[in-house]
Amino acid sequence: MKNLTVIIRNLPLKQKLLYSFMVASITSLALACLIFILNDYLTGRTLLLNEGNALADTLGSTSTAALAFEDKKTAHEILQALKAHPHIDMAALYQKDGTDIAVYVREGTTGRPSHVDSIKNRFFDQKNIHISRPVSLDSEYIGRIYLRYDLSGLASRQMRFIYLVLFVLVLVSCFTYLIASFLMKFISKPLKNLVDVAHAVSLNRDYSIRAECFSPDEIGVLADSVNDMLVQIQARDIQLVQQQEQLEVQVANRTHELKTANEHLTVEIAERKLAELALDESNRRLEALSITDALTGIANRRRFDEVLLQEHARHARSGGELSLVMLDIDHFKEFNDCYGHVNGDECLRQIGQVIASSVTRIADLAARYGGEEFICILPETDSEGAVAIAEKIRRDILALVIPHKGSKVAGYVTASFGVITVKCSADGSAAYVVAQVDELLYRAKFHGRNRVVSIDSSKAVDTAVETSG
Amino acid sequence: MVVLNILMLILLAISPIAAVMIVPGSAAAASPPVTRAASYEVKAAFIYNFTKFVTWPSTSFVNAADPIKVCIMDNSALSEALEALAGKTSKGRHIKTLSYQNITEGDRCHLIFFGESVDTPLTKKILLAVGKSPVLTVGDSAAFVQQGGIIRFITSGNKLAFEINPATARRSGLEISSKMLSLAKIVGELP
Repeated sequence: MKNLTVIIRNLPLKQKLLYSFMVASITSLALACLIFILNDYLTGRTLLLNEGNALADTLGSTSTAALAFEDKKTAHEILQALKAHPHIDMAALYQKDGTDIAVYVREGTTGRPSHVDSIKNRFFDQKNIHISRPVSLDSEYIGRIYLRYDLSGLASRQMRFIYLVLFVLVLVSCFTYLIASFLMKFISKPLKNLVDVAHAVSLNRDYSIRAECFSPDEIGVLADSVNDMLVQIQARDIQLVQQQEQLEVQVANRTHELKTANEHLTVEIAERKLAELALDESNRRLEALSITDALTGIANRRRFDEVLLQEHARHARSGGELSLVMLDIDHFKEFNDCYGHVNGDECLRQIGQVIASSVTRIADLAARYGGEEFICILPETDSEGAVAIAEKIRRDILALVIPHKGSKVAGYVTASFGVITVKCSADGSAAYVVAQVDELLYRAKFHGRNRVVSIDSSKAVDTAVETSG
Repeated sequence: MVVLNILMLILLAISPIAAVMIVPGSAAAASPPVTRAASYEVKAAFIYNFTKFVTWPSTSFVNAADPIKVCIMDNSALSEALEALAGKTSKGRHIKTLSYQNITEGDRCHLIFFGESVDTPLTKKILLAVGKSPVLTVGDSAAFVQQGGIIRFITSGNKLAFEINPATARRSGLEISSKMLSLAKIVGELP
């Protein structure tokens, strides 16, 4: 039973409908046929009974006189009339006391009617209907008539009817199948169409497909609803696509804007970088300017102060010897007065170059100290080395042979030098060292100019040494 | 009515004579008593059955309760058997038996049985008196039907049977059932 339910549930709709149709129609037909057969059987029996009753009544009535007058001959004749009724195989007329006055047995029938059978008014057994009627005369019971029907004729008629019904059932089943198959199309075709549409839609995501509407029935309504749904989905789809497109356009616009802004920014950054570079350049130039003497191209006083402080501190830590060379152009006021400031500047420039070409070690620094005064820082240099450098510069200046009429020393430009060599200590100040070398320069001026006066303060004996050309 | 009254008068007039004449005869005839008695009873039953198969015109009864009067013109043992019918009913009416001794003037018989003891001249007289009145006449004598009687008992083999003259019956206004006619031997002209 459960299997059957599963099998039916798994059938396609068309077959489900077809089988339902057939089962319903054949069942109803079979039921109708059964009722007809039953009715036929009952009607046949009833007809037979009615006929039998009527016959019994007639015969009873006819035989009243024979019974009343006990006329066996007439009674016998009356029963012989039953030969005309093929279904009656036995009959008898009984008197009040149960003795028969006439008996009829159809040819080919064995046995004899018994009075016992005739006691009941009527009854059935498998093969026969027994009908028995009392015969009365003037409402007085005078005897009984008994008839026996043979039912074999009825049974064979029944069988023929059943065969006919079976044949009709088979015929009707075939017709039902044909008609149902034809009629099913009206239901299954629109449904299949709908299912195909649903398939196509779900498979291809194509919402432009529409279900064909065949009829205004429930399936038609369903198709309409599906179509409506598809229309809505399609509209939403289109809207979605439009929105997406708009969004994409917006994103593209925004991206473009961003790109432009980026480009602007990049340009700006490049410009700023250029500006920074320019700034750096100018800064460097400014810095160079700030530490260089504009006229001679060597370091200026500020730069000298810085380096001296650094070197002094460094030498204080290392304990090395630091030497300073200070020089001053002899009678430069007179030179300016005599040759003019332009030549004076030229003179200063040439001397600056001479100094720069002599002070060449990396750590060395040559600077214009002010006016016609120059100063050199010679780190890690002992007095000897420093004096040698000072002497070289003095000779180089002389070698320039710049004419100087106003000089009381010689006809050419000369310079005086002070050289000091110190071992820096933490408590000694840089300014003191400069003052000391300035003192030595003054001594060289005092002693006749164009000479070098040096002190090696790093030694225990602090004696000034004078050298000159 | 007049005829019937006359008949009654005749009956009354002749009855003592008849009694004198018949009684010795009947006594002499009672040689096989058992068979006779049985045959009387059968005849009585037949006569009772006749009342059931014969229809009298309604004018022959005073009302619905009027009995069927069976008059017995005999003094034999049959009359005793017939007396037994009294009290029985037929077609909803009681049967009243009247023997020739106690028939009164007002009595109108529906059925008259002529016994063996009634001789031919008397039978003739009575039948004449009855004429076409609706009276079922039943007799035993051989010429009874020829004399104008309707039913006569006969013996067929060893069985009691009867013959009927339907024409006479019809003339008397009596209807005899075809069922009974089918059992009877029909005599006289056919209807």
